[in-house]
Amino acid sequence: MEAVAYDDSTTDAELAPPLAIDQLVSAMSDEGLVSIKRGSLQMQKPIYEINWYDLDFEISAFDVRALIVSSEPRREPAASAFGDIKLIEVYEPRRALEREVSEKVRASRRAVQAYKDRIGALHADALDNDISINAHSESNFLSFINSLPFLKKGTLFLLENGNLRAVWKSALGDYIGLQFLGGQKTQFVIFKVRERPGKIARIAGQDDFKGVHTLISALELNGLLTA
Amino acid sequence: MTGDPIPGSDYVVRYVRPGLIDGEDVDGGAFVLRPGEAGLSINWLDYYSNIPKNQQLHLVRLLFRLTVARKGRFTELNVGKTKEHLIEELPALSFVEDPRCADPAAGHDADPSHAIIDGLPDPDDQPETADMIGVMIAECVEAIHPATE
Repeated sequence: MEAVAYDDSTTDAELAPPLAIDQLVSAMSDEGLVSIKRGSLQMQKPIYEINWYDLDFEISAFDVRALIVSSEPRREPAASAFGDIKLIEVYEPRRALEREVSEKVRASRRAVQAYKDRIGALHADALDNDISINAHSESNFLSFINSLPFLKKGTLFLLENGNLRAVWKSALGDYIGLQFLGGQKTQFVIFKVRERPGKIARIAGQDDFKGVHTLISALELNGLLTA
Repeated sequence: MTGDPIPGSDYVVRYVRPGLIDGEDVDGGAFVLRPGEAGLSINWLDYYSNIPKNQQLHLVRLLFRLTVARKGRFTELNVGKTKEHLIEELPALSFVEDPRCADPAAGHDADPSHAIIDGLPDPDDQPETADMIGVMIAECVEAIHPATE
């Protein structure tokens, strides 16, 4: 379970719990969302010990301006009725992971569809410029992106030689460019920004998919390709 | 005059077809020589000195000899910054004048701002290096302009 609290105004001198949290916990309790087992004073701060389904956790009223239970995504957050209060978000880990994975899968599907649309546009560009798209390059590219679990969308280009080149890069300057040669082979250009300012490792070569994956992992650049 | 270097403070543009542009990203493939090419074709914007950039671009478009696509773009580079960016990997890189005479038979007017990027690796001999240098030049693109008005 993860709880994130924001509080920019409470001081130890304020002994009474904010009205908002009382109202909110009460409302949630009435709705059966939480059951308050006890309220206590600890370090002069009231503590709400809340039992929510099978999860137990404590919240200091002094650290809280609102509570939003976010593992029930269909339920509207209740905090809006409580003015300018800040919030705590409570995640039930299994559901949070489920949601995270679902979102990544959806994003990956959107990326694949966007790539297919882009390939359509590149076919038109090929016709206009008398370029014959290398069908092996295209099928290798699709095979490559389908092998990535949670694909991130990069950019895709058609080279003069008819091969496709996919590029992923970061705002910092990390860069992966893969030209798909066919036969599961790629010609790669990879830039890795080093910790020292202004230092960039630049690598270019040819390798098969496995070799390129190994290189990308060794340079800790997997995050450019996958979520 | 043909072969004279273009000053580092000046700007050049290179036409890039749509397949080498994705959104605002220009691929390094736009800066790789084609088979048989000795230099990369560009236009020297500041040949037309003391006029605004939009007028410089207008003149480049007017005299440009290739058929441009509606979604094609002119990519703009600063000569000095590009050479500086590649000083370690390609110290021989140069931007030189290559004006073209009129060719009435082909219906072409003279193109005095035509120039080339010289010293690029041959993609047949050094394909990986040519790719990498292309990417590094693409990193220097400062602006992208429509190919048509």
